[in-house]
Amino acid sequence: MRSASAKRNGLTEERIDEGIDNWRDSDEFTDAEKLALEFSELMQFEPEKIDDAFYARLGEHYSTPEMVELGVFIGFNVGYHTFFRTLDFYPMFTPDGRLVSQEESRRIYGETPVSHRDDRVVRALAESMEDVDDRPGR
Amino acid sequence: MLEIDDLLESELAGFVKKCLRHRAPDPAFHAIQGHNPALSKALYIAWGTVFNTGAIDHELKEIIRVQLSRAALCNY
Repeated sequence: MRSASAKRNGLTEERIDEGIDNWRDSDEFTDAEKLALEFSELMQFEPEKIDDAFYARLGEHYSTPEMVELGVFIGFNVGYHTFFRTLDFYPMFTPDGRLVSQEESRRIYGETPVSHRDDRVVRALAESMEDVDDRPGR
Repeated sequence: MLEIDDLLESELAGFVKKCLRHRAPDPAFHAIQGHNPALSKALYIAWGTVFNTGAIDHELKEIIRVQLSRAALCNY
């Protein structure tokens, strides 16, 4: 699922994928945005590399309150996703905004998280919609 | 994992309705943490504050949220 307000404001799956898979080489993100994405990636995989020099770079684009905001947001989500993964549960919302069972959600999203534009997700979502359309009374 | 219908009858109903409206966090946030309602409320307020308010662009935060989800191999 995605933030409804972010979607309303124009955030696309293409931009999400670009921000995850190609932010370093992308022309679609500012230097400040790229640094935030690097901050997040390092927090997840190599927190030891976030040192005074990195915070100095961050300080070239963000105020101290903004750095705290980013750090807390990233920290929250590193922790939450690590914890929630151990529980093996799935979003209640489908990518197209329907509330579904955990079994249905697992069928749509698959074993590991991938782009919502991935063929497997698109196919599973279409099949799920067909099941909805086939229900009696529809 | 708690059921949405049960949560909507609980003290977390207002928070769950916000999840249903905003979709992030997914209502599963409370379906898990609702076993400890006071903590679920406090964390929803804290997480929601940092996600939905502040100076950092909300769309950038959403990209980061998905980035970290995939990095942790968490479908949530």
